[in-house]
Amino acid sequence: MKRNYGSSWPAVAGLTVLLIAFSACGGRTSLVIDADIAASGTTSGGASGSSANAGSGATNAGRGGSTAGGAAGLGGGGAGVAGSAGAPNPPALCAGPSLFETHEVVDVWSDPAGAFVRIEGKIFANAGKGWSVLTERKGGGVGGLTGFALGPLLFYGSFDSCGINLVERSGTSRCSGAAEPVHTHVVSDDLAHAVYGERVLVYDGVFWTQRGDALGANGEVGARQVWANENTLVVAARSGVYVARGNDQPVLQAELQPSDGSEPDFTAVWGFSDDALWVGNGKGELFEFDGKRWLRRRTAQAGECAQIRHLWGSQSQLFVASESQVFSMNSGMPSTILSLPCEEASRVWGLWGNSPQDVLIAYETGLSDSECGDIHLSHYDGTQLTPR
Amino acid sequence: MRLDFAVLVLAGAVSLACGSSAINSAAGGGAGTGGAGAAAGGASSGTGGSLSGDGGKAGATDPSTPPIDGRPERPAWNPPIQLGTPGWEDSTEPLCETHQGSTQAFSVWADERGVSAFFSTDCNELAEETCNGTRGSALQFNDGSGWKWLSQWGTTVPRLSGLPGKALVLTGSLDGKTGIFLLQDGKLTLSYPLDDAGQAKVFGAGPELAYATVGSDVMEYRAGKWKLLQTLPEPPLALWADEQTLAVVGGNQTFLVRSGDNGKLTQIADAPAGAYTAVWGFGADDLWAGNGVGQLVHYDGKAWTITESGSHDMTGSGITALWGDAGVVYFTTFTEFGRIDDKGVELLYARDPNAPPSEPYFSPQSLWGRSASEVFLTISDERFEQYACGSAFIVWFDGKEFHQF
Repeated sequence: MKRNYGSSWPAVAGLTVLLIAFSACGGRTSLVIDADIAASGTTSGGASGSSANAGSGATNAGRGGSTAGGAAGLGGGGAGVAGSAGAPNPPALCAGPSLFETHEVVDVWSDPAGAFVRIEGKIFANAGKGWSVLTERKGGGVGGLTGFALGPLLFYGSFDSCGINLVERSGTSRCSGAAEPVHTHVVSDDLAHAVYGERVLVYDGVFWTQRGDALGANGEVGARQVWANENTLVVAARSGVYVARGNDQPVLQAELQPSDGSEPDFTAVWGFSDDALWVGNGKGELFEFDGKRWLRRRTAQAGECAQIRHLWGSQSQLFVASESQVFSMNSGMPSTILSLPCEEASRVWGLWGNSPQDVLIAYETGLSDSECGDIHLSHYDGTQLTPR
Repeated sequence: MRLDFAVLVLAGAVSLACGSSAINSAAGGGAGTGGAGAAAGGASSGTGGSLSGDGGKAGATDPSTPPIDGRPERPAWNPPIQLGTPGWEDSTEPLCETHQGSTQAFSVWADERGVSAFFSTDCNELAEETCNGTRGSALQFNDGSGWKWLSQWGTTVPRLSGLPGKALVLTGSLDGKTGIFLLQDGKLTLSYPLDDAGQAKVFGAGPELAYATVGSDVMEYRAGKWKLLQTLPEPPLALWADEQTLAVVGGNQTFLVRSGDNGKLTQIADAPAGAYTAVWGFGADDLWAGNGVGQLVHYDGKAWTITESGSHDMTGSGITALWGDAGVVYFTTFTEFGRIDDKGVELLYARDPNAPPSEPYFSPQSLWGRSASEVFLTISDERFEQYACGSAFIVWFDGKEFHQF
């Protein structure tokens, strides 16, 4: 059953999954509710569904029926969202029908002034008054989206033209850098970093230039992500983790090299300070640097969706996105926020927040039967997951 | 001043000195430049102008004359640029290239003796291209009196450059030999053999001084000898030099400079990120580069400036060539031609960025000049591929308007 409720946020009961897609299609807002799709699910519990509909744990990723414990997923929290009636009706964002069978780039970024979602070559923006397309570029097979707090966005990747674009909140943009990074991280208005291949770039508020020497020979590093503050820079790469202090050249972290000689395959990085760094790898392992040494905080996970795709944190609380799950690390233990089936059509794409009580998650469900496509955004307020 | 480069043409024979084979140029009547008469065999009459005016020696396999062009007569050219009075100096008949097939190279180079144009085609028979056996390469020269056919080769994508006031330089494979060739006084000499000419590029800085990039190697030619200067971590994309300075640019922010006869190429600090695809200079403290996203980057010896060229090229070519004089730098992308000077950037031709990809391309192929008001531009106009003389056109820009010649 599918009903379009326009911009209203109905209470949902029973076996219902809210699939609220980003809606910015010509100003139209839509809310599409697919009911009963959890029929095949095996979710048990819906533990975190603290809303009035928390009991409807079956909403938790019931499609795949793979959500262990039914901790949260789209269901527990999602139902809670529906239960939060009375709040202003946020217009749903509709990215439009999925044009491709598979997505290449989806990312999310936010600051106190707004939320932004990149889907392929489009940026959707919501400054509190609804979603709209902020800008669009052709190409963009790699890269992502980030931004300067209360300033322009960084729209980067392998576009047909400029690789690093500064996009103002008005939608105007200019070419900031000619390289094509796979990841960027903003420290301040006049300090940001980007990585690609074996290179680290630094932005000084005017130009992007190469930071130091290449991390290794051409083709042998495979940088994936970068995190930095004013003093420390960390790169997660296929060949390992590199850390630099001050203006020094990044140093490969020998402790994190697998003893069996296998490829380190680090995929994500986040830091809270010089001495509180986190990295994740393709096996789902998490390592923390405590100021003295690297400590394994999560062991390798079984399954094909274990890869850590994103790390983000605030106030010492780390949020982790794997291929199919989002969880936070609380006292060393993972607490599941979202769980998707481990299948090709489902994937967590992006994770960003403004505080532990204000986290956005972009994900793909494979349910593209709506005219708004199969990319979804949910908000996590510390207890509940709310489609946005 | 016009020097004696024409001797090379009129001598009538270009011989390959490094080996036993000889390459004959358009001997005698082959240089029927601008002749209004019909092409050999009558195949290419009319506006295209015959380059094989003697009419008796033409043939697709005869290296001394242009191949017969059996395509229909070329209609009047109506390019998307404003053309002024046709001709250049006393040359009035437009260039005609009779090789057919997919254009592989269409290079121009000039010095005070005249303008040389190198044209090369290949034929993709698997794609059912109809080339009528006329694939190949040809070198033509114009000293201001008209285009003269120098020679043609069975060749693979060579590049044209030159030593100012001295030899023309061809890189590629010519008749089974591969490397850097010098063409001077009627002799084609294999100056530096290579296993694979690939992307080898040569920049002549003087009559006896040139630099080349061969793969990752940077070579220097001085007083008749080549030597390896330096091997770079990765193959560069472009080079420029004068007698004091060598600049080599490439991907991953590569912007190297060498000043003086000695010393190594050194990366200029804080070069803006990107891939540099073209370079020109007026000295070590006045260097220009174009990058892969169509920006023009300037280094004044201390600081960098980035200027948007205004390019909306949708092919992703970035800046494909730079040439400059007297503070003016001309640039091309695959679909644009423009210049930058102290007054700013100006696009002198730009394909409509909203034009569908299927729309035939009018694309600058090569850029060279003799002064800021005498800039030569080879152009491929795909609308004319099926006509005599094909898609190859050459114009010169006088600083205000274009002229076909």
